[in-house]
Amino acid sequence: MNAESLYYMTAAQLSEAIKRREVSSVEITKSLLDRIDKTNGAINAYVSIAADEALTAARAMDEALSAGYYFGPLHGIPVSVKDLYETKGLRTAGGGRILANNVPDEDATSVARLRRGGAVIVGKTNTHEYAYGYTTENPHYGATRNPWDTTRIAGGSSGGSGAAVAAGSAVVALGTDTGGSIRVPSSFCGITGLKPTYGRVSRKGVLPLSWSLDHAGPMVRSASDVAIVMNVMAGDDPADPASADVPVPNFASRLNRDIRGLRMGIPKNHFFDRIDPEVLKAVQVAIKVLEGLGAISIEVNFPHMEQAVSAWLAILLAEASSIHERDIRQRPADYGEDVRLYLEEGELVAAGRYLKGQRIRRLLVEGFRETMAGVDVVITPATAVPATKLGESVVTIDGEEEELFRILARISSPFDMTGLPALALPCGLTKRGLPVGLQIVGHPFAEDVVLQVGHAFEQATDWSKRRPTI
Amino acid sequence: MVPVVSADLVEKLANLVRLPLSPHRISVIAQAFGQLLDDLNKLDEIDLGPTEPAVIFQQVRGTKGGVEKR
Repeated sequence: MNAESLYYMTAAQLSEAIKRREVSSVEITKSLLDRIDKTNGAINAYVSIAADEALTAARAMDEALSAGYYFGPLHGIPVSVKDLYETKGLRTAGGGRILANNVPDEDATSVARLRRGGAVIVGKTNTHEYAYGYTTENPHYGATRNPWDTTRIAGGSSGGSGAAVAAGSAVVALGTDTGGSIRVPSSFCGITGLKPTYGRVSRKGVLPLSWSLDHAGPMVRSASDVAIVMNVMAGDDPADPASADVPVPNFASRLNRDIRGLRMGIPKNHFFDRIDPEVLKAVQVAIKVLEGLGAISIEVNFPHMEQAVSAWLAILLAEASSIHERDIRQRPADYGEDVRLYLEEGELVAAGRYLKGQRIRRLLVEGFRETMAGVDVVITPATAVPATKLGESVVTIDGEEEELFRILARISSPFDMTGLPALALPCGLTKRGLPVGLQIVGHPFAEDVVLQVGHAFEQATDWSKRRPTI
Repeated sequence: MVPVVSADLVEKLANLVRLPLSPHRISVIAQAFGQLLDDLNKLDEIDLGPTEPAVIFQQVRGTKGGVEKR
């Protein structure tokens, strides 16, 4: 096994190799650090690299294994953490200037769980400032660039994690998702990312953007890698008031079951409106692939979608401005222009709008429950467009101009509003060679079913195995 | 047609919530705020049903994300 082949392997493959003593954690970590060194200048995926700490941890994992201690499938596997999760002894700035010198004394619950599971923390990945945006064009730490085309964005807000996994400078990365921030960069970068059910993964120690919308989850190279990470990350945490005290399944338990007879909801409204033609084509082909595997397509219609993004916006603006209430008054110049504007606008939104947003959310939750009662999953594009150019804020689809922010929120934010689990995974490439993402949405706490469908699709196609030439 | 919001209105709203803004910031917000208000006005296009406290309480209790257990 040479160093070149290590950094593009999946966590599942590396885990097996470590267990069989074919490769050590130190070798994997060195290979990854070398890859970061070679690629980070071009893509700016990392804002901090903890090389010495990672090698020390990797050595400890190798020694533990030699002594007969095996911590599980993440034993010795490198993990890259979005700079929104607190990491003990490693700067956590949230992509902002205000927290530029913030070195936490404790790990976020998810990071602590991963370390206990044997993971080796490699570094912190770039984020849109305070996770408040889709582009990861960070005014303080630089823009993250897409490994498939470095003139384009990696998406966001977890853009550093998306770019790192795509470029082979991360095996496993962590992201957060308030309006699509795991799924958008996963789609743009051609990787696999899960926004779990709201409450499934603890947000303790994750800098908040909007407490009723924030989710934490993994960004990796396959559905089976998602399962490996979720088996360690997921579970009730009394320190997160939104955490759900529900049984945690083995997320890998359904991966190898076939999907014959599984019912796929294909939305008639909203989710297939104003989609880039190449994205639409790729998603339609993906649906045919799933049908070919025995899944049954059923048309579904989601109610109240005309108000869904507006309701999300009302909640997001009010909650984010509440969180940043002090700093936006005392240190406004320390924010980048776009985030500063959102926060200032959020201050001016009337309380009644926020409440109306929450009331509409309830209707959405009930409407989605009724609509999805007759299906097992829902299939949509992960994003309406492929990765856009750096600096591009308006996109034309079917001759109609629309703000990128609204285009991306349109498809992804309804599942932050309803809290449903949603997986983004690659399902094609455009003529320009840009990844296209598929979204698979499940019932509350049915991540295992979502991963089953994702895994079946991966086994039938090779989109998850495509790599950018960087 | 996106409504135009005056700088004067933005300044008054900012004063109400004690948000200190320079004339430049007021101008920047005024340019963007019309689009936002337009978005938020879409919330009025839906009938949310009765306004009895019990109904509203039921509707807004979903601040835990609204997800029900399986």
